Amino acid sequence: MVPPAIQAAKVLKEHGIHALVLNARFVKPLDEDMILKLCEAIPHLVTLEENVLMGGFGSAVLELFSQKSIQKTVHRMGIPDRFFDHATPNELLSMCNLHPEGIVKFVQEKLGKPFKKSSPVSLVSLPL
Amino acid sequence: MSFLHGINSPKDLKQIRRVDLPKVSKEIRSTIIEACSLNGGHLGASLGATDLIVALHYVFNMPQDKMIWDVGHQAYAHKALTGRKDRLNTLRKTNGLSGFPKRDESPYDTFGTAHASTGISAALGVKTAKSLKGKKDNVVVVVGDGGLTGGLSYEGLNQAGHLKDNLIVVLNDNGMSIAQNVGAITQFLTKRASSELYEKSRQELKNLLSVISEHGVPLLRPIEKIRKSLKSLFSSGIFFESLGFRYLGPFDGHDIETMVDVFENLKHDENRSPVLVHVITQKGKGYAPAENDPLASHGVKPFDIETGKSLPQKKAQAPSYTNVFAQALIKCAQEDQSIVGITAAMSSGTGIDLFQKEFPNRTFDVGIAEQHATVFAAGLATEGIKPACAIYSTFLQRAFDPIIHDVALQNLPVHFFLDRSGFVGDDGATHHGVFDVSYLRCIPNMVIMAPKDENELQHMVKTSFEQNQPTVVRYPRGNGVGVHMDETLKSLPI
Repeated sequence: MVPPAIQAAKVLKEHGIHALVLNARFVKPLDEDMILKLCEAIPHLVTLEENVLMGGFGSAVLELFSQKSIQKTVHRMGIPDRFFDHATPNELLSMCNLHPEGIVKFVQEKLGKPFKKSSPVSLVSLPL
Repeated sequence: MSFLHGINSPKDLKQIRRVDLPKVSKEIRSTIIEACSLNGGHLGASLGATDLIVALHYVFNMPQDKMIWDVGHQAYAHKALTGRKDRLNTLRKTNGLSGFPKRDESPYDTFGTAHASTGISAALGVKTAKSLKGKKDNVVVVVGDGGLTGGLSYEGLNQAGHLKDNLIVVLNDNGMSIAQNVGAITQFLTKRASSELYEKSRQELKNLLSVISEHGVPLLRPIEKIRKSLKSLFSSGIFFESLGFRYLGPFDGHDIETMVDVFENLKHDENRSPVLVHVITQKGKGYAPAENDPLASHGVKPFDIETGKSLPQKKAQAPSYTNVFAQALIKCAQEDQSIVGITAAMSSGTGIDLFQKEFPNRTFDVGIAEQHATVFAAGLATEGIKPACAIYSTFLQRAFDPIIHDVALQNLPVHFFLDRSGFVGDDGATHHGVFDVSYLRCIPNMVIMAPKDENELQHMVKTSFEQNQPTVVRYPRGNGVGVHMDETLKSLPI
């Protein structure tokens, strides 16, 4: 998910949104310090993973926030709670919005349109 | 396509004369070869099982009678005979036919399969349900010798022998999983199938019987005893018979007439015990390129029908993750004698075949048995060996309890490498590796990593072996992103 996140960040930049992409290569143990520092500095947080949303990487971030009593919305992108039949991997990823266009669209919807130029976002991505 | 054209359900097949059945098989094979040449698919297994499937559908009355295909990738002929022949060319394509039996695809698909060794248990459940409802319909399960390398098969056989319901288990024995089967059971079956001595003895006993039977019934019982003990000397039959099964065979799995006779007899014998019918088939049967190279014909990419050669693919810009993992594993193992490689019958899919070339004595193919692979690795780890368990994400699901109970609870440094994490594409819902983060993250002591590219993957392989606790690296199917590869592997700070 890092390469599509980087591509999405480029598109977002054209819209005046600065997105920082974090390569969260360790799902466990979670790099708590890094994620907490990041969320202090940047108002919006999106997690990305090619795994089911339930109990996945985004859930880990939610659990961290809950544990630290941090009042912050975590926007999670991943695979919804249903089974997916055979199709090409790219088709499947786009069904879940896990492609650059999908990520851009998701961020637009979550942050509201039009973008405020001063509204940076961090895309915390499970790498692949 | 003179016969297949008119077959829209198994009922139509039954109108065909027995002598013409081989022609039906031939036409189905052509359809399968054509479909696989376009879309890729499980060519070898499907061609090997075609004659068996024709015989089964000719005799039994689907969908009242039920058939279950263990693994299911051999069932293309079943799809062709059950109203889906015109859609075979959509196999594994988006919105097309699934490559596996699927309940919501057809009423003839009794049970969804794809992961090996589930067939016997499922069939026993179906058979028992029929009995509970007072129905005498036949239930047939076709399981490969590969499927018999998984322990679940024996759990099913064990209960089936105990329940004594007249389940029909057909052992489709082609001597292979994806690669050559390994293990004691396989050797046992092979010995059984090729034992000339047994055949000779059986023939002599038959002659003796025909003489003795003239002297009346009382002699038959001791003769039967001799027959049984003879079988126990030479056959794997005793193994199944001791589980409460009647053992028949082995039969030529390409001799449709004989198989039709055998199945007809079983169909009309309601009071029999469970039976195991052993048939010998050849993977890739009827298509020379597949017969000659059964390993390559297992899961094929689109190919040229004339030559059997894969159509030229767009040249990959970067090495596959599988290959990067294998090379990194080899590098680590050159420096650390305690590293060993484990695969569950997927040596080429996981890259363990490359490791095996370098370290044949440090490689273990345990059969289609992920649960065993995991506990075996845990045992190795207690003695300071560092096992690299290379298992697809979807198949590691089968080892969930051992990961908790045997590996993590004892904090043993077993190192899992999960190829095919994320969406896998054309194998579909049964194979997507999309649950691993969730089912592994909740287990104490686990370290879970995911690389952003192939270079990071190789460093994660090294990092894994430096942890004195269980580790997991998940990476996707296919090729890397094309980044520079560092010469020296380094350890990543956790």
